[in-house]
Amino acid sequence: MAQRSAERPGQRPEASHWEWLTALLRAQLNCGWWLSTWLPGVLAVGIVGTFALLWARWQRAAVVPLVWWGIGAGLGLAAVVAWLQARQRFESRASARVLLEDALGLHTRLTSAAAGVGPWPEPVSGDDRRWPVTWRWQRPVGMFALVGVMLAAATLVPVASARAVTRQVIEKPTDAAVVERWNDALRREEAIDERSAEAIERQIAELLERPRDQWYEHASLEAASALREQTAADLEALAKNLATAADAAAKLASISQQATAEQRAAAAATLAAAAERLASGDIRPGAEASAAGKAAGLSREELRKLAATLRDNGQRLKNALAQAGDIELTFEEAPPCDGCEPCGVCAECRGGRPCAHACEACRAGKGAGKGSVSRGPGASENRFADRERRATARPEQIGLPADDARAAPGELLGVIDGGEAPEPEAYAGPQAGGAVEHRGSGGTAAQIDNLVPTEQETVRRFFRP
Amino acid sequence: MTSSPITAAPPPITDAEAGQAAATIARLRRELGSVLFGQETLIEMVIIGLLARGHILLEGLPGLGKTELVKGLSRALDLSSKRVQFTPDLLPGDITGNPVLEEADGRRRFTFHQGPVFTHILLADEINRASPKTQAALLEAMQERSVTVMGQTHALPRPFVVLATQNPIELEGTYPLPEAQLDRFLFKLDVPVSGVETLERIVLEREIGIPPAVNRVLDAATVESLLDQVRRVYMPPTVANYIARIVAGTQPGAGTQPGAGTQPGAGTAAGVKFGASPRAALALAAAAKARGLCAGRVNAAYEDVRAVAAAVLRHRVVLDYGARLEGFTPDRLVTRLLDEIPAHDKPLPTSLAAAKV
Repeated sequence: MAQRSAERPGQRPEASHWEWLTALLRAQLNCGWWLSTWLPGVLAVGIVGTFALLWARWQRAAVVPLVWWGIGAGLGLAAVVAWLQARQRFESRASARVLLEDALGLHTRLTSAAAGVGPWPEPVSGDDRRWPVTWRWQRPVGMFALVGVMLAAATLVPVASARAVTRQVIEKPTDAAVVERWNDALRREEAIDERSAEAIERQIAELLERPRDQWYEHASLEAASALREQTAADLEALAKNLATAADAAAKLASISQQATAEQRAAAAATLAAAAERLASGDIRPGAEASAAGKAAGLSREELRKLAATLRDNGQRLKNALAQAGDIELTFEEAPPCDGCEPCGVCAECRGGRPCAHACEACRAGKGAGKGSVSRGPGASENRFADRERRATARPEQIGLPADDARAAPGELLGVIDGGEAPEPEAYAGPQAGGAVEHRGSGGTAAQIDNLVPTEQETVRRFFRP
Repeated sequence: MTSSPITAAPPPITDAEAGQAAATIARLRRELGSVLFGQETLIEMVIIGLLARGHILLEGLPGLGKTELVKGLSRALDLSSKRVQFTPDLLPGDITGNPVLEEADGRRRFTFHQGPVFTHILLADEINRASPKTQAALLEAMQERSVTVMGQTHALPRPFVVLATQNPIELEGTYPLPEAQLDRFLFKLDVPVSGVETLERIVLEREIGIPPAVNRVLDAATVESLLDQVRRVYMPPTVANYIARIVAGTQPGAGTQPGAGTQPGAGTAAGVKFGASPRAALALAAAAKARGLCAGRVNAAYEDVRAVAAAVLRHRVVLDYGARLEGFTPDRLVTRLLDEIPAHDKPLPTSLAAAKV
């Protein structure tokens, strides 16, 4: 069979024309094969790149440019692999010629002419040329658009930094942090002994032993809150006992020689009781204040020094808590009785039953039930609920028994509804013309605040304007 | 005497030779068109069959001009023609010829008296009415182009073409041709009923009992030359591949065959009981070459294959019972094959689509 004349140098224009069209069609077909083989790789790189971008942005922002380079390299690698794979299906020149002559209705004249049989057909102008194939742009364009949207979404969608997430996770519950701050301040001021500080530390550590993702569960928060309340109550008791012991020591030092032996014994007993409460409390004072337990037999001067030491410890306690914040001691120390005539038994008045011998300082003291600006009308925590209130306080919710005689003590303690309510004994104003009914007395609160201080703090925090 | 074996590929026909042959064929076509009105396609296919050295089975109702076509063809080609009306009592010797005991020079011997098969163009009318034995005798002559009687082989004249007819009605008492014998025919052509315009022309230009005048266009030597030129028409390998894929596509389960199964026409041959034989591929190639020469081309083309595919394949494909019950026909199968098997032997990539041309 004769060789194809069109491949020889100096070939006829018709041959060049058809060979050029054949090469063009072949290139289009092979490009189509390559594109079809590349598209799955593009999609795969797009998916992997999307997740890599999200990971990089979540983990380390500095890696993002590297991920983009990786995506580019992946696309390039996929293109090369696709080329190698598609080469097996690439069209030959003869195969492309078949497609061209069949589409143009050339009656196989291109193949025949290429084989040296018969002349090449006359060139066909572009207007009359019916190109055998058309691009299906929807598939590749759609694929590239999909990958582009995925990558754009991975770039633009807000992603929290992993570090920020970690910082949030490791933050301690507020109550535990507050107690820790108190303990640090107390330890710095040496207001409590080291063993008590360690005990508080141990409690905090036990609280934080739970997995971090459980720190903000309800039970954990309740435990932290209980720890804070318990610690605050212990510190309140410590401050109170220090003040009591200091007063008792001062009174014992200043008691006159004319005092009877009974009065001396009573003052000493008061000091001993206060020292006992200091020593047996959950939080004990500093080492110097611990000497209150050995007050028996001390001289007047030593007793005065002991009182000063106790007051100093109490002051350091207050200073430390003031620095730490988030605590308000309801106990207010009574002014020292050094300047007045001691009654000798006034220390016992602090139970709310002033005796006839109480000094003016003791009479002016604000004990339980007296109320203050900070504590509301004076209702102490965990007081018994009154009957009338229980009768109208939706007992089905709190489960109160109908018969008080059969109620457990816990059911009657601090189970009244929270919040504020009108004081039934408060002044109600004129009731009838010409008559005034005023059953209240001066200073009576118009509202009863049944919330404990921590609850008040919570209410203030949430309803802060 | 048999056909000479193929020893070497003949030299390709030249463009000039092809043009001259096409002109000659066009004259023949015009002459036959003056005999048989409104049957241009049938005339063209008969000429193609003749040039492809094939035999043609014509199927059509009586009176459509089959005999006139044969007579006109013989006169136009200046070839001898005979007509045999096949009947159930027709014997093989009535076709091939019989040995007759004769006395010459005082000696008696059997002398072979040639039958009607010894002619260039034989019209075997209603071939399905003869017994299978008689049919077989004719079909052997068609295949071998020779007749052997009493040990002596008698070559048939060249060219030798059989145009057999079949009547699609009145099938009682007929002997349908077996598939193996149908395979001997190059074409099976349906002779369509003429339309109103054609009938009007027949009424105006014809009279019963008066045969139409036909001019001699060619002679036997020219016909032989044309037959030789058909052999020299170039068959491109891509067209041969196309023919092979089409023939393979007729096979049952063609969807799993290499070359056909990879094409969009996978499963096209559903309902086929027996597909076309390799002889069908040869017939397609010969017919495509002849059609290419008719068009003045030096090569066969995909268009030629498509044009002759139905005539070549429709009697070579046997459909199963279910397909026939559903009204599926070999012609529909061929149409589907041609629609679904492209000239290009590879599928296109998914990012490209074949243009609608």
